Amino acid sequence: MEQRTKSNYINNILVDKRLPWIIRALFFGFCFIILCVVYKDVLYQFFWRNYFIDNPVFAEETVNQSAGWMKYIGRYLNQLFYHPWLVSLLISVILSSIQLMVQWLFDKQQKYVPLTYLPSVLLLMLFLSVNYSIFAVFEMGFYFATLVGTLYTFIQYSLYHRIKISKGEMTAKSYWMKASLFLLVEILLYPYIGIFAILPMLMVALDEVLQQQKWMLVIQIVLFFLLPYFCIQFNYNERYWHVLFSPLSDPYFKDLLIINVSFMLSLLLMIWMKHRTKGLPKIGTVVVILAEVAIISYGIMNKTSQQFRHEMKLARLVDEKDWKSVLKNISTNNQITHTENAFRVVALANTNQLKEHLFEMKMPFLPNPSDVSSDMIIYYNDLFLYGSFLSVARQLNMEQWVTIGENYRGLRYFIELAIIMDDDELAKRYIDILKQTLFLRDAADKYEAYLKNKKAFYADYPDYARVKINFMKEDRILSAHSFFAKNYLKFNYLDGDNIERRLLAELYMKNLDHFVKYFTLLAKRYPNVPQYMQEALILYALMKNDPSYLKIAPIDQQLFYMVKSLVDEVSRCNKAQMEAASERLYKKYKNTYAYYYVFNTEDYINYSLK
Amino acid sequence: MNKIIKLTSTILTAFYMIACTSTVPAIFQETNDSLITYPDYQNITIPSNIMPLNFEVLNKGEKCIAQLTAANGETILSEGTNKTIQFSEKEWKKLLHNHAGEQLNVDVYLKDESQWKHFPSYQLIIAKDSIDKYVTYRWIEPSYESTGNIGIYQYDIENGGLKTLADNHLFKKDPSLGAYQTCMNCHNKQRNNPENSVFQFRAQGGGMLVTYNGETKVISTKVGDMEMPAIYERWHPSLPLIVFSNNTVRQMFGSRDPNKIEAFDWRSDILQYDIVKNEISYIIKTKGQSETYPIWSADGKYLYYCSSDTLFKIDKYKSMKYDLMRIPFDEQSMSWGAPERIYNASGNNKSVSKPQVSPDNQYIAMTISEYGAYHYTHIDSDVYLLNLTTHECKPIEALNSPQAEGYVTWSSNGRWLMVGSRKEDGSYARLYLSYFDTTGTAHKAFQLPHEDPLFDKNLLKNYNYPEFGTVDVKYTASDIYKILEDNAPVTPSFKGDVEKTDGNTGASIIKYE
Repeated sequence: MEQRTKSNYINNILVDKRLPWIIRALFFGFCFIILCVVYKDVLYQFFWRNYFIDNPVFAEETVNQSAGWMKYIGRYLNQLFYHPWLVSLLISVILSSIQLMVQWLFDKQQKYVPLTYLPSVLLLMLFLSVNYSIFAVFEMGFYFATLVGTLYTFIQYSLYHRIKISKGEMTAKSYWMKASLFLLVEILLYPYIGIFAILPMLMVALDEVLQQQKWMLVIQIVLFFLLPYFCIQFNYNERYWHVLFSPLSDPYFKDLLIINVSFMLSLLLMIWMKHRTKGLPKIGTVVVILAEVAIISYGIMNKTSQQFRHEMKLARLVDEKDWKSVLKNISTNNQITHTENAFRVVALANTNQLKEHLFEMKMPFLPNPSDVSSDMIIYYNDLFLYGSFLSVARQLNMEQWVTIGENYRGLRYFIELAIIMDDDELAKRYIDILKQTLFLRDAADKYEAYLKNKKAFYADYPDYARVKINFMKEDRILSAHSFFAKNYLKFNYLDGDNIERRLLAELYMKNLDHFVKYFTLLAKRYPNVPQYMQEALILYALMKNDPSYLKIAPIDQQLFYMVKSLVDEVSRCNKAQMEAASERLYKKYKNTYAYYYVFNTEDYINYSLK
Repeated sequence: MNKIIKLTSTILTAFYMIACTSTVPAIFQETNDSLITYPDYQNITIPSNIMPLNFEVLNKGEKCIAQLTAANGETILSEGTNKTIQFSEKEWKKLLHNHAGEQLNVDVYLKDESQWKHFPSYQLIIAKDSIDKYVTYRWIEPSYESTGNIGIYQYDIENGGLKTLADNHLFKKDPSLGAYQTCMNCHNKQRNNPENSVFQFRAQGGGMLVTYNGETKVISTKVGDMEMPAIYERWHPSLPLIVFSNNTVRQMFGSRDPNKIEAFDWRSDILQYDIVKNEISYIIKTKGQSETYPIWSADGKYLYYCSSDTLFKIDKYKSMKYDLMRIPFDEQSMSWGAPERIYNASGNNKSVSKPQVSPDNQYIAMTISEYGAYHYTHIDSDVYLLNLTTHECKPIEALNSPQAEGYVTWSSNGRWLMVGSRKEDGSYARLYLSYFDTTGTAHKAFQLPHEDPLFDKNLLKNYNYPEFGTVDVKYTASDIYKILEDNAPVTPSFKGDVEKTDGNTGASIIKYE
């Protein structure tokens, strides 16, 4: 009794006329800030990973899938991610509206207000949890397909309860007529909107079960499993399990599937709650609020999500060619992921700092906390583009285009690569496609103008001017499967930055014989020989026990003693001591080539300086 | 779904046509400006059974009208929205049917800054010779190694209908099936029994899909000591016999190579699959040569193929040059004669590829480039015509462009050629048709028409391995999936001594000069 009173007390507070609106406003503001501020860089990626082209080829390809209309609408609306603040506003409005609708449809007496936020919270969680799946989910129309589908669900559910076939009390005949009409709509719409045709009727069915009418639930359960089966008879190239939840994300993305299913269950929970006479007990209210806070907090704070946002920020900065900010934002803990390192190398190369900082980070690099896609998808294009391996960059872009799907970023890459490679007719084809987008038409016009004025292109993109200069002068067979540094070793002419990159690649590959051979010819290029190169000469002289190598270029005496000291310390270690030495010596010799040479290898324990 | 879209589009078009009955503008200015359209359908010879040649006017303007006029004054007209001309299919077909063998005059009017102008008229010649109703081809993106969405399609030249014969989309979406390693190619029909067909579907449980007497079977063609299964296959014109090459294909990407991608055969030989005996055996097996692209003469008495005396080496790949060879085949004894060189391309420092024998056995159309057998990316690759009587070999200028022409094929009556060319942008191949008249002259090639004239402009896929077809392929992609899932591949027996075989008995190591 006492508990009931407390529960009523809390509910009384919540049903206060103003408080629910204040909470709703807070939820709206929270969503907006999370999306627009915390997930700003993710929104940016959402736009560039989407692909919607306003032409019949694209329309036919998209619509002729299970839930094709919903996917088409979703991909159309995903274009709005171009304006992060606008899309944040829109999503926040939709999420808040969904809460409002849930409350209006299921909790008019406001008996369990905190629970009415659960569907919106799960939808927000869906967005927050996309993480590395972002590189593969856009063919489903993620994320707007889900939002639009949810709104449709409420509309159809509401219509079912509001439409009356006959005046006065509903007779069995009028009930049957209405139910048949809605079932027909459900079956007819299923191929076009997928699970969102079933969801509202599933809610209706639960409604009716709780009113002792079970046949509708039986029908809905049958339809839930049967309609996808009929659908794959027409969409022959889709699997039953893919169609079952379409257009929600593929069952392959397990995290998203769990959230999607939880979201659907939360709607069914609302129906159940609607038929309860009791409100939420106090403890229940607290648990629901805590659970919702925990869900959102986990979505934002989990390690994968944080790492993903960090890498997406770097990816945006690379797109903006803001190299200083890229370097400023690299983690300072010296152990970074492959993606971060790739962006770091790109930024160092574009600010001409490779020779001073290439070997600073501790290897092995951390793998991305992603089980969905290779992290190479994120950075490989940039790495090869700014390394002037244009044909490889183009090939990799195409590999990604055909495997993870078409996207604006890939299209933009095709255009820019074609312009740099003077493949103007090909660039024009891609530009004409880009013109058929909602927000990139101006960019397309700009690219088209560049075709007639390449000087303007290189003036606006000075980094590409450097890429063009460093583009190989002769044809060499390259393979995208080669390690990046190995490709640099194929630079066999001695001009500009390329030779320096080649020297650094020799150091990277630890080919000291080659390095010394080429450096002997090029020493005069450097009035002040970079530290890494001096260290390499010292290492080589020590390993060969031949001081004449120290005469190739001026060597700093302090540096000599530093390298010698490292070599001496390593020489004194046996295999068992190497692991400890790696950590101990890192503090003393970090950021040196000598340390990299000895320890930055998968098997440094068995490494010997011979 | 396709039907719904098509029905909706037809209703809208009909409504539009009723609502806006257009006429040629009464007042206009003559202009000498060149009319620029996409696709270019000006002054060409067309078959009488082709679908409307719709196009977009690229000259500056707001809207346009096109009128076709026959010698007897019969006309049809289309008013373009967004400068796109789309003729009524019914009117177009009637006009072409009524005036086969005649010439049509085409007048295009363009409204620019509220003034109509009239471009110089051009002509369409309607040949009496019809074209095969169907074209089959593969759609695939250019220049990559992993597997994308690939499909083999049948296109109806008379009405633009598209049917998917096979695709890999299902496997692509299912990682457990090795989604990234499914490929398919080369749909080929038997000349005299076109309902018999064959193509390759390389996926888990896949193989060579042979449709024979209405039944489709999956054949596992990697038997004996074969390094690779069947890749490029051809039906004998009348016998239940399929020949194929088993190519170990490698791709390479050059840093500045204008050809963008290079494909080579590491090894390749030529084999036969006897459907009745369910038996595979070598026809040509060599250690020092590489043989590929087998193709039958129209009468089935010869098998033509390309052969290189140099094997692939990564640093000398341009020295791999293919000659055109042929080997006689005796239908009665099912035995092979000695190979002979028909065209010595390597002697001219060139290389031939993808030969196609004309239905009258008079000509071979093929591509010639500086090296290799995969010419579809070679910008120097052109289509050549070899006269089998005079042995004269010359380029077919009407089909060629500064970009790669990678594939050429004949219609069943020999009056139409189809070529896959990258002339638009050097990357995306499109299909072009050309009338080949009785004097052996090819006429200006024109692009395969679509109801939406911008279809090819917007399509980011290559047309690949096109073939004409006279009958509708009975199966669809859905049937193929069922066949692949319900039937384990059949493994034929392998005939022949793996180490040492004889040249004229089916499995051979053949030496030739």
